[in-house]
Amino acid sequence: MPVDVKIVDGEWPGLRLSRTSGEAVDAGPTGAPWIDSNTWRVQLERALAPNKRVWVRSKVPDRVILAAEIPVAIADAAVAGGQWIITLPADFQSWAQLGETLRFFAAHPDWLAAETKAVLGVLSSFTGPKQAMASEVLNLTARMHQPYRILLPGQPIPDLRAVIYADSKPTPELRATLENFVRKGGLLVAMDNTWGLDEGSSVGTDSIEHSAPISDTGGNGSETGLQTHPRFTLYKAGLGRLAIPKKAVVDPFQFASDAQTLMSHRWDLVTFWNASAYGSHLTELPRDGVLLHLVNYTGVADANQVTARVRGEYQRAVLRQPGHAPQNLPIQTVGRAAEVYLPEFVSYAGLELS
Amino acid sequence: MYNCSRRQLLLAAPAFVPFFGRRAKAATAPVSRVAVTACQSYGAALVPALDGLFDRLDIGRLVNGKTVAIKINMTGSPNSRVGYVPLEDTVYSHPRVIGAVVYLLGRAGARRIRVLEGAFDRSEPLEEFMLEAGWEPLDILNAAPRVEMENTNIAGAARRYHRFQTPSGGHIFPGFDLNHSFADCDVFVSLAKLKEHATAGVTLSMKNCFGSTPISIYGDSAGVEEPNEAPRGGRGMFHDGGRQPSRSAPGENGPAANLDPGYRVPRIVADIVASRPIDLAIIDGVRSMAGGEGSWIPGVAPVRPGVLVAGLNPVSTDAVGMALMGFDPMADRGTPPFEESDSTLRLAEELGVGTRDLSRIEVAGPRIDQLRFDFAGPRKLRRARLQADARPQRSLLPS
Repeated sequence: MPVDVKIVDGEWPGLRLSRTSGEAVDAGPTGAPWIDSNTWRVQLERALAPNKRVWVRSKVPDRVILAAEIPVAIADAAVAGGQWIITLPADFQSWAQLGETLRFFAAHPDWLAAETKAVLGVLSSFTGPKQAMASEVLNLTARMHQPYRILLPGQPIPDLRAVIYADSKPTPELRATLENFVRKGGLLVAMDNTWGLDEGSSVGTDSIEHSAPISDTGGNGSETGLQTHPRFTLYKAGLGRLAIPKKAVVDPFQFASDAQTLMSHRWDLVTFWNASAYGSHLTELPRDGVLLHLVNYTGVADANQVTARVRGEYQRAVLRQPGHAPQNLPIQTVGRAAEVYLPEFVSYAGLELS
Repeated sequence: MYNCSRRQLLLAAPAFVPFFGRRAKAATAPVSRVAVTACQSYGAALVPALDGLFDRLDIGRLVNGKTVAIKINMTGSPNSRVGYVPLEDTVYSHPRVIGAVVYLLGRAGARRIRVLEGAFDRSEPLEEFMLEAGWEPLDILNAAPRVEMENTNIAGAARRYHRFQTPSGGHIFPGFDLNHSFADCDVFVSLAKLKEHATAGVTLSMKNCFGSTPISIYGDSAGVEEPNEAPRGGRGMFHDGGRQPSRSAPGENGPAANLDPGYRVPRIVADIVASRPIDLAIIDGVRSMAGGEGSWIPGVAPVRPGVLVAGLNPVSTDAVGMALMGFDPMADRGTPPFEESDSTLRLAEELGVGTRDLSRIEVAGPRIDQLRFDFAGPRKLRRARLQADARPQRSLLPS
């Protein structure tokens, strides 16, 4: 194995089949089908080891594998810059489709280096007792089509609207960095309900949480975001806010969902309609514009008539998919966003907006 | 001869109501003027059209100096459309209609306006739900002074629920615990969409109030003893009687004997409307959908009926709405659109909410036949086609 490769053991990507009801599909917390995906894991491993290539190894599930699942698995890793170690069932015959998919991603090496475009960051060491919860927040936030940057302690915080701090007990230096982010206008969502309260001597008297919590001033629809929350205590400092859970976080879905609401959907970069069985990943294009990766986990060209709305002003939309010529699509301008009606595609499509 | 005092008779009244009182109430149910108008778009013509309706109903007298609560319709997920068509053009009350109503009620003197909805399967602020749907809530919040929003799926700002009793005991529920906003108002408005409904036949101003009930108590994840203030899921118990609401709220009158959703849903809607009366019913029929209430119903399609309806009595307003759709408001089970359900209109009429008898209702505006948009004809064809084509629905699984 090449020394610059990191192999991770991932899921077999796709809609999760119910363990209790035969061919039915398991539902997630919102009733949408549950998707097993390695995209978030590839993104995490690349953040932890930026000089390494990430290969994903999946154990073949003990059931019939459909040919369409293979291109889906390849795309699921590729959209975050990873490679799925091709694992084929014994009776596999769809070589042409496999070749198309591999050639397609090989033809776009610049996509691998593309930075995730996001307004949300998730900061954690992704080690220790909070590792599982922090990882699950990545997984679930991705399922909500909310792109995020993964941030590690010690790294500078880029220009983001919100940061989820998914570890406990930040060092004084990190605390200072995070409080500075808040004072400049950011939202910091702590996952640990003891954040800052159990550090005693290390917390300065000017720490945010030493000020009074924000009282209810309403304004949910305003651009300043929520001022109160049933599960968080909110503090204001400078131009930003700090949100600390009132109780220990036990439900990562509720936490991930709350974090989005605290930030406000007003700042969502991507909104989808009819895409509950799709995964997405938004990246900056090397030149101008963005690339919205879409993985159709059903593996069938479906007449769901998916709409994608991408925040920003764009004049041109091009859809690229394996085995097809690039397709120009019309853009509907909705406020400060571009809305694109997506045609049917089988497993993967990349929507370039420029 | 059975001998009882007047007091005993009064105490036993709910038991007699199903046999005597309800039929009597139907004959004398309240009636009120219903205003209708053509409106082909959500553009510049919308505010004058609504203004005209409100003039004919003397809305100023109703809302001047009052706190007004408006229950809008945002049923289903904010991320699920009928094809590529925006939710507000098919499933949801249109935000421009909501904004126009807020503006006009504010102009008519409403002191405070609250926009309410038990937004699909969650407890996040209503503004956030609107943003997810692709709307700008500030357009509504800024349409009049002192406008607020509340997701009524949870207790919300008041942190406690208000108990509403159903007169004469109700068909199924003797009362409901609702968000405080339904009590902390002088005028309650139901702002609905003109749609058919897969379970209840039609969904108009009364069925809209199904979503007034908090899923913290009546939802799939409702607490057993107390409300669950971080709820998810729909109101399955209303459909199938699979469980009871949180014990903190009134339970059903008896064990759920009839589990048919076509029996239960219309009765529960009638109970809700009787317990929290609607003062002003508005139906957005400018653009809508045919074949059901949401994108999850097979065979639905966008339509443009081009009508607006408003009235001070919800049963009468819904009766005119049904007539505008090409249905007979006196229809009942077995007759379109109630092929598999009972009529919510008849059940609400029996509770004394209002009359569905068009001969008793004054319709202000163009004649119904001038504005009628035919839902009934396509419904017959669609149902015949679906029956002929009755094959298993397509799975999400790859074939």
